Amino acid sequence: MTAGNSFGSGSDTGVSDQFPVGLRVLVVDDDVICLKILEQMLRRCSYNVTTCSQATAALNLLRERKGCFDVVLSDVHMPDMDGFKLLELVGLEMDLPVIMISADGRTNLVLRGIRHGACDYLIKPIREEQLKNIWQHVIRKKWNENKEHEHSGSVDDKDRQKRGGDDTDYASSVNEGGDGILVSHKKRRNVKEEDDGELETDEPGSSKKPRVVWSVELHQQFVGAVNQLGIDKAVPKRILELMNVPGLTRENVASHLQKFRLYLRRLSGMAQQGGGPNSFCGSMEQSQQTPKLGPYGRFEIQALAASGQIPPQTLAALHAELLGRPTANVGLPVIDYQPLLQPSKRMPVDHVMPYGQPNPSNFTKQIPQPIIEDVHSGLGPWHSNNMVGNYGQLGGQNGHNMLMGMSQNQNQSQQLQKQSISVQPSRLVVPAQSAADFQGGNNGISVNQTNSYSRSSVIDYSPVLPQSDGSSNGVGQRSERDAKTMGGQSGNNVGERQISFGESVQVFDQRPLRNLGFVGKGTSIPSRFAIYEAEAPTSNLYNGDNNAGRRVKQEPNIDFLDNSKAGGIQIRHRMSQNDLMSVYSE
Amino acid sequence: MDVVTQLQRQFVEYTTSLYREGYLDDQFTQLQKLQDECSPDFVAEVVSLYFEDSEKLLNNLETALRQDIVDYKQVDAHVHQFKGSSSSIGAQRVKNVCVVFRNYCDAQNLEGCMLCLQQAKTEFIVVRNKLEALFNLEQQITQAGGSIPMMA
Repeated sequence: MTAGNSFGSGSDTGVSDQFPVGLRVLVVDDDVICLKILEQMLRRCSYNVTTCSQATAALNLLRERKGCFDVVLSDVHMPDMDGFKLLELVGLEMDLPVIMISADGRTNLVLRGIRHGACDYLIKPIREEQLKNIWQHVIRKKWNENKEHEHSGSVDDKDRQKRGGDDTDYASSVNEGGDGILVSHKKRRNVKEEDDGELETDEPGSSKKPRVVWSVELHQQFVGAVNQLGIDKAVPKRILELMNVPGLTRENVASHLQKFRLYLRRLSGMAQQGGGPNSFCGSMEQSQQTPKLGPYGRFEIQALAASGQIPPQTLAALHAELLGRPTANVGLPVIDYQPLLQPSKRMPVDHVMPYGQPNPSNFTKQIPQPIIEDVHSGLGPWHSNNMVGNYGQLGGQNGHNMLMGMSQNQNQSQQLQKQSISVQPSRLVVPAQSAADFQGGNNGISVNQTNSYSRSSVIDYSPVLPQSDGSSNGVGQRSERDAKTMGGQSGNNVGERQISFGESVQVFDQRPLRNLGFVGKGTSIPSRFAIYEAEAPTSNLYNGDNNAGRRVKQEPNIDFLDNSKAGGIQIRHRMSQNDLMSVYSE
Repeated sequence: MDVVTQLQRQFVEYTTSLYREGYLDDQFTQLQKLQDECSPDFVAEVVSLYFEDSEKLLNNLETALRQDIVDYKQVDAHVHQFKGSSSSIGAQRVKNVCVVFRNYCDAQNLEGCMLCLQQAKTEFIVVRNKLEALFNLEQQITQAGGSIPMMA
């Protein structure tokens, strides 16, 4: 049975005839009686059953034998692990449909199950008839995934020929598919798949979508490719070409990219939920050392740690936070992410985001370089990259992490920046100091801002920022815009990039982008800001909207932001210093 | 009437009464349906498992409730498990006691819990005896060369 073949009853293609015969089910329940009964029932449904009385053992089994199961049935109450937690982990790591079972059928529990992503919730005692239909969840999931791929411009097995116009398809679908993605995301948990498996793809002829196992190395290549291309140009076809992995199909890449984006969005979404502006602000203001980690905070931390960009204290603090939040982490193994964080290539902006944190050292180094480079370089531009990329992070707790890293970077880079293009690397990057501030406030704003900005052409903003930095303006907005105008090349790239991110981010919560911009920019650069203000024509810069009034006033950042809220960003902090700030302002 | 037929009749009557009196519910029928050539002793195996497991659970419950400071969460966990397994094999009365038991747990009503524990024990012992009697009948029928009547 090939790994890529679901429902493998040993044959690759013959399954469809007998489907759902041979459906590979994993049952997890600490009650051996129920386990035995379920096993027997499933056997009689002609399914391929594996039983496990311990959640941890089941998880290990799933990890070791990736691609060997089609659906998981799990009890809710288990001594070694909460069933919902297992549910989440399975959804995240293996992206398998999970059906919850419990003797407790109380509504609140069923609701929890749904919220955690369960495909179904069965109440004990279970009847054979109920089990007969579980195959529908597997099919539904696959079809939804296929649909998403189509949304993103990817094609399913059947129309592989349709590869032309990938870029456009992809780009356009990203935006408009955003809704679709969101919808399907809500329906099912679609998280990036990570594991140490090898890449396996099914034969093209198979009627089932091949399930590719994205190993760390593979993902790194993927990320690197996305980086190289730039998020706005990161279309499956090109990514595939860059990756140059035999056996990998464009569809696989598209699917992975989709998941990646969803993951980022999820991060940002959860970050926002988890942290919220307040917490964010609070933590940021306090120390920048102890960011609150969102549910995925652990990833960020790991990412940061992996990239070696986090200063020890920060890392320690982050870890402390991380550890202190047992339920916050989805439980993804750190290891999985670390390698990702240290791509040999530049880190893509969006990639950087979820994973982590900018590399202060790099950033610093790179400051003088054009933004483009920075952005691309894994480390240096991380700021900007991160900013942009960190959809999730900025949004909330995650953002905290980012900020922390960024702040620190910012500080370092700021100095550099002051001299040169301060913000460049991080289009979004806001001076460290302000970053914190921004962060807090940004959360609310960033999202909007980003959106708005991203929509409007970066170019608008360019003029505003006379300096290449543009980003130094602090206002997150600026950075985005700056990106374009920034100092120049980099600015442009950055800006563009930002824009693209914004767009792509739209799929997710845009906030993160915004934050990025703001972070770092924050108040720390008041003077700069002023400069920008004065120089930049502003109006357009700040937002597609009518910021015109605002432009360049010193104060104005706030105003600016207000107006600029193309995306309806709320400006939380009124920080005149940076646009960034303003962006956040209510 | 020969022995086999007699036994079979007895079997049917006994089974019917068990259902009628609520000791067993439809889930037990489901269990019986699961038995086939591949698993000829399925029901007996599952029920044996249930007996073993339940004894442990009941002992744990006893211990937990006799603590100076009762951990109701733990008690609830045990009851939940007991309820799950009882319902899975169709031990209806036992399951019903568990439902009440859980309510007392939620309310942290020690007296109520102790009462339920006693009831659970009683019901468990009764259903165990009845099932053992049923299996006994089955065995007799088989040994007499007859087949076990399938309950609709």
